[in-house]
Amino acid sequence: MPSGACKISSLDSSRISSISPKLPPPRRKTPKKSSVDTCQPVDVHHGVAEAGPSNSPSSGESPAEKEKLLETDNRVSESKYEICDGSGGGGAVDVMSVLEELALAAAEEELELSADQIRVNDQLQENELLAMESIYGENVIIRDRQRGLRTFQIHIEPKIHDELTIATKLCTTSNKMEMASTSSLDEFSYSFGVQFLPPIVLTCSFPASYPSHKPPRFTISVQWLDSLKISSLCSVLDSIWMELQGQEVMYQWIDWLQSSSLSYLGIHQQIILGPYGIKAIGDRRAVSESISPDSDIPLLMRYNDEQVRESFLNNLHECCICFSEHPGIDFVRLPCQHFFCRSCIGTYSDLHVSEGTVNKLLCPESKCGGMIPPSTMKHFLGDDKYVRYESLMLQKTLDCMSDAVYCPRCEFVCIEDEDHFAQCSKCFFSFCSLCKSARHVGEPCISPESKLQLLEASLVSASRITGAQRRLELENKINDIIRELENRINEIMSEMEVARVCKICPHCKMAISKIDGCNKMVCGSCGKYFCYLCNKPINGYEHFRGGACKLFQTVSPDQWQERTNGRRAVSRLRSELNQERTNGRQALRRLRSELNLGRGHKCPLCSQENVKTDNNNHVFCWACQTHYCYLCRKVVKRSSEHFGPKKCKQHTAG
Amino acid sequence: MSSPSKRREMDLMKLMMSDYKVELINDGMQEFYVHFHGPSDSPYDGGVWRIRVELPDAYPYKSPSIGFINRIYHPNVDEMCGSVCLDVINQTWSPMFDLVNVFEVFLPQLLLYPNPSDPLNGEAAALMMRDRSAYELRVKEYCQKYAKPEDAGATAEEKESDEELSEDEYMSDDEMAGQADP
Repeated sequence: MPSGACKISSLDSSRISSISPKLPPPRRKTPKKSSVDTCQPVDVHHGVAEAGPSNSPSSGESPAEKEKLLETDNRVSESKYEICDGSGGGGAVDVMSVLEELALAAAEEELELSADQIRVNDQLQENELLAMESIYGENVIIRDRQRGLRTFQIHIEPKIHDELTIATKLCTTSNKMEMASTSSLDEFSYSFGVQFLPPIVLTCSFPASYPSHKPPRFTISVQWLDSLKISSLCSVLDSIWMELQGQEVMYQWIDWLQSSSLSYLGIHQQIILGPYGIKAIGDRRAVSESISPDSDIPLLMRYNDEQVRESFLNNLHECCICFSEHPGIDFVRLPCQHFFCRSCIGTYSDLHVSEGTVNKLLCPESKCGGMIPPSTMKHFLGDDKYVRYESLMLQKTLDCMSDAVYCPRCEFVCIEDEDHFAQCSKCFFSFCSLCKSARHVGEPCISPESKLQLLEASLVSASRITGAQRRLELENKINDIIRELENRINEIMSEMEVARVCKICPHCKMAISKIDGCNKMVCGSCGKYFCYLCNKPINGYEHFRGGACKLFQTVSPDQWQERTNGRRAVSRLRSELNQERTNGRQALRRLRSELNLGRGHKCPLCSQENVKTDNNNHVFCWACQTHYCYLCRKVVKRSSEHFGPKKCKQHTAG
Repeated sequence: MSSPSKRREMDLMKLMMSDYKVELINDGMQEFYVHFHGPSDSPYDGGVWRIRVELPDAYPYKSPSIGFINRIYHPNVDEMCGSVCLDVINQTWSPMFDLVNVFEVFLPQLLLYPNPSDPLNGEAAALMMRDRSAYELRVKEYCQKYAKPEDAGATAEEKESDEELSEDEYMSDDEMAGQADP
């Protein structure tokens, strides 16, 4: 069998399916990194068109004229930079490559610095990095050195007071040509509030001439701003450098971005996403990861939800029932979004289940009335109490249903109609729910007195039935019971077998048993994938790369132990079943023997009917005057010779 | 139960801070008396009752017991012993409710909208269903007879501080409202 293909068979032999052979994993696109020693500007971006011939900055050799330098840098960046289509290349820009390009562009102007100066700069850079790490902790990520220069990333979370609204206009037309002339009727705006925004990512690389002569090279990458806005942020950073020439500037940059960037952009209450799909020419260093409303909105929402949840978990909150403070992780949140501390919910659930008032097990918040889900209940009650909870819930629910009645024969739940008649769907008994006896259309319910009279009469008539009739009735009854027992036994046996060898498809619940092959299963009934080990639905081989489930698995000793235990349990059940069978059979024989008392049988010689009396197997045929043994049907000459402990028994029942 | 006393303390404090006169019994925070005024838009208006509140061990998961010390005519309150029919409180109780809730919301509602379906005082319930105005008259009678401020006052010190105010009120009430004739 080729590797990767698995054979599965379910109990129903007509369903056999196999998995298609392993597909090669999708090739991942890795961005090409330009090698360090080439000096030509190489196209390292996919999706971005290489524009124009390579240019070298025309002027600006003088190190003092930093402004001019920056200008040329920008010009270089601008001429090369073009977003063709808002939906395509924006997200794939690799900031490292941008930095690389900036470095290359500035390579020509690498200044002649004295070794001393370089050493001083180096030390200052080192100190600055350490300081930033200690201030910003995890938000600073030091990357591998690029061309021997220090490179790092800082995640800056802009400060939001209260809540910000994010809005975006969604156009129904996707044609760019028409966009300019779209009437406002085709647009509608969608907005939602957030408390947390994905961070502004500032990626920097320190040139050797920082902080003495040149600023750090940087890119700003933002999820929720377009490139023009980010470009304006870039220019502000430039101007901050201008003011602080020769000094370390990182802290000022980060601080400004964190506290003042939003207000600088005019964002106080609302951010409007977009514009999308417009050719933007901005600063090279401005990387906008805003692609389209379809991807941006879920991303922003998800980030916000995660952060809200994180902040909830990490902070102390007061439980409104007990007024004690707990960290967020000690709280339980109900589906209605109200939260309470674990001990309160535990006490609450316990109390009501013990008292039987499960109807009151709703969200404690006044006027909420939300349900507490059974899974939460299971978590807080023990197993025993949970069983009690379930039975109470069922009982209460049925009590609420005013038209639910119980069948007088089999106790199964039935629904009555407006005439108080009901038919049990289990035993098909049609009965009147008021008097619990058989359905009496048109006649009123039988009174208890008449019911009693009827019963007495039937008892009398029952005792008058002749022996033969009664025998027949009893026999029929016994046969019914046997049949039922056997059916039930068979059912249980098949269930046991299923549980032992099969797994259930998580999609369509078909029982599937694996004969050979790997653990990536294709269900024969619905065609969907699932993992044979953990029984969860999967998409493909991704699942097995994680490490939890192996594609080809040998049985570990623990699992073997489990299986053995399982087998033991199965054999125990089997022996129990056998015991039941034996008991059943014994009871059956006993009943049969009762019937056989007085049952006639034929004489071996003359075929005349005789009756065994007093359980004695020595029978005397009244027709042909022979003695014979009831058990072996042989003629008996001498009773003592034929009957004995090792021979036929003299007296047996039946 | 985590820190049961904290919850009780808070509740008591909140009650006291909402200008209810509370008398503690033996510092245990299990029982105390509260002075309660009848809601103004009901026939119980003007009456003052001394109410005994008992907090069970399982508080706040179980509702407190409420009892009227001086007599009140109400379908859900026993006339002789003053205890409020428990089920009425139990049905609506939630661990989020606190004592202020009881006195600001629950009790006034109970007095304004008695629950005649399950009455402790059957006669009052019957009268209410049969003849509303007669019922209201009867209520006012009882207020006059049994629910005057001094009926609810307990200790001598309290009486002294109360008396100046209550006497004035009493006088003005008398003049304005007049006696309700049976």
